[in-house]
Amino acid sequence: MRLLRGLGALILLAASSACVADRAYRGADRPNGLPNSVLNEQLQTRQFDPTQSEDPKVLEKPWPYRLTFIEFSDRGEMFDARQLDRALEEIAAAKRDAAARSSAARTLRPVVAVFVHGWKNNASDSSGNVWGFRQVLAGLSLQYSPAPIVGVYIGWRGATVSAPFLEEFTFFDRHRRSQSVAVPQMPDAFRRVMQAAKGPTYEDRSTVSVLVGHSFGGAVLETALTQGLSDEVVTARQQQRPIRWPADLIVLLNEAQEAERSYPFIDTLVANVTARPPCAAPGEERETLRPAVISISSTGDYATRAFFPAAQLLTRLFHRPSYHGPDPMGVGSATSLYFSTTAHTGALRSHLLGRADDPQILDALKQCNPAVDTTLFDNTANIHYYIVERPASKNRTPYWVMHMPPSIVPDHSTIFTPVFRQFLVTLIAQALEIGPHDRVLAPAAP
Amino acid sequence: MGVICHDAAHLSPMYHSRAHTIIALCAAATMFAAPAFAQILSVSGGTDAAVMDNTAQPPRDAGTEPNNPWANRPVCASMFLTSDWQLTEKQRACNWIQNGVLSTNALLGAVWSAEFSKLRDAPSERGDGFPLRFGRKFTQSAIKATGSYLGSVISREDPRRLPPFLALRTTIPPHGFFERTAHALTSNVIGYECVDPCTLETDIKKRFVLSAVLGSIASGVAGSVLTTDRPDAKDRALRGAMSAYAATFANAVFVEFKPELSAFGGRVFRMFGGR
Repeated sequence: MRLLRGLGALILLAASSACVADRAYRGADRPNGLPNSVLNEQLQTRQFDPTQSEDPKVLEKPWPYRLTFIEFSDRGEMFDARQLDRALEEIAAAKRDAAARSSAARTLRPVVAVFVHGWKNNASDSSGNVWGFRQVLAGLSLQYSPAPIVGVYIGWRGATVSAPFLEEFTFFDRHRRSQSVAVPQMPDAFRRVMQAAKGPTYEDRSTVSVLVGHSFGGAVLETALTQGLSDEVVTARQQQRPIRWPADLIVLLNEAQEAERSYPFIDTLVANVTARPPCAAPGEERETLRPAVISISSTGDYATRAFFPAAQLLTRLFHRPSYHGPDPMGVGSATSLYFSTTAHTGALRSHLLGRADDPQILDALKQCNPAVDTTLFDNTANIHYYIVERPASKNRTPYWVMHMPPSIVPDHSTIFTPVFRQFLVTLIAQALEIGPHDRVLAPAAP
Repeated sequence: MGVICHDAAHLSPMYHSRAHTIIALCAAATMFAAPAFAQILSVSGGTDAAVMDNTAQPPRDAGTEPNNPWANRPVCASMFLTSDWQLTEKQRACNWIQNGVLSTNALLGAVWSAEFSKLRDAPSERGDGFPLRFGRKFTQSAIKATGSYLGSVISREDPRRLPPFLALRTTIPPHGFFERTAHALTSNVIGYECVDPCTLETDIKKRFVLSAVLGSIASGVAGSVLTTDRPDAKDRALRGAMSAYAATFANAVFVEFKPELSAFGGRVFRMFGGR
């Protein structure tokens, strides 16, 4: 009995000392001694891509970027609205800087990359996601050199407990919070950031803009954006004009959210946007269209593949599957959409992603040219990864869904591997070379 | 801490209840000490230093040189332990503590083993309560992790099962059940080290996975030492080491097929949820 009391006291003590406060980790104008919410930084090549070269001069070359933070409380309100103002100022300054340094021979396109972190992370420097995002920004700096790079890190309370083992039990609470935190102020913050990057009507093509959300951060991002995206798609069809996507690419990575929350938007796309034309057969030339959203999960992500359905089974007692739409992809059951994430729902998957020598990819290549061809370690190993249309997929919307092999991302949390960082940077560059999938269907009959 | 646990296991029967308390408490304390260890093993200053450096950022219009925050990164954060191209000695030590001695897997494994040993009712543990069994298993797991760590240091193998530099390999990954099983079993015997500058496939060198062997021996010996007052201690050491080594092969196969097993698990849970 005494032992149990001792153990209980120890666990309580550890748990209470391991609580992660609901507070800002960055301060606009450095109030209260917090680190600045705008950082002017650089990383050397060896610090984010050690495979670039053996030449020490290349490996020590610095790649500059600006990193800004916008943090939200557990109730979804900004801790300090000036953080957003500072981020907008940085984007405006980067655009001015790029315009000033552009010439007739060379146009510099500033890059605005937004990242929403996932579970067990926040905006502090002890969060691995902050460092991984820094490495991505440095990679973008190398890719688009000498264009200015601005990163916007969206912080929320992804971690409530930091003690090992105990933190695993925060899953249920953070899962629900990831969907509620995105509602009050985030949609407007995203709108303002994207308008700063791409202009008031998102038609400024001089800026490269990317939104990335990981795990519950994917849920935050999708929840915050879906309403605005749906409205834009419907309005574009009513006005018979191309869709103005707020970002060049939206990437949901190992997203930990029920597919039933993504599917209504896919419904809207099916109902209002022209279907992607059939892929070009080998040797054939045909226009390829860029996706607006890519939902991509690792096959090694057992957290969303096995644990997520298990957790959903427990919460099933208190929730009901909510999808009652037309089911254009033929998923067949609302329960499937409740238990699975989008990328793990087979009927929604539109593409295959894998190494060029993967048998599945080789099979798909017999029918289609690759939609995207990214080369990793192009100075050394030169390994190709292809995104190829999945044979017989019903998903022909600008919302691409696919699995990725563990060689790119081995599990749920280890996202910022050198391979994935390179893959993301080259994917963005490749995707931007093709035109957006923005054409709408003819007006609906009255 | 290991010494206290070890001594506690040797106390005479008269003091057994105190021994139980000490073993269980030191196991729990070890578990919750993870963040502190990580902090100690981190680079000097760690997060706080990074925070101070970043505070000193000049405003944009000052036109000064951008700051490189790399020196202040928390090298022992799990993100760097999994994604750094090559691990430093300090990171290897962190990996040993965080992902070996104090990992969630070690804790859950100890709970499972303690509960399972009750069902098995082996003579070496007969009559012991759960706390003592748990403490013993947790300590045994910590000693096993230490053996693995020493093995990886001696053989210079990368302690990670899938170090990121393997992405440089141009050979076609194995496909099909038998090919993948053979690959998994081989990976438990042959590991890798990437020698500087680690930019080409030819920089990846094969190493014997001594960590699995030493870890298994350490586990077997620890299992026997922690129950020396029980019969068949020497036999159990050998059997324990062999079963631990066999388990590393089973784990390698499990890791290889984890994507398929995860998909299967997900399907089972969905099935329970009905249509």
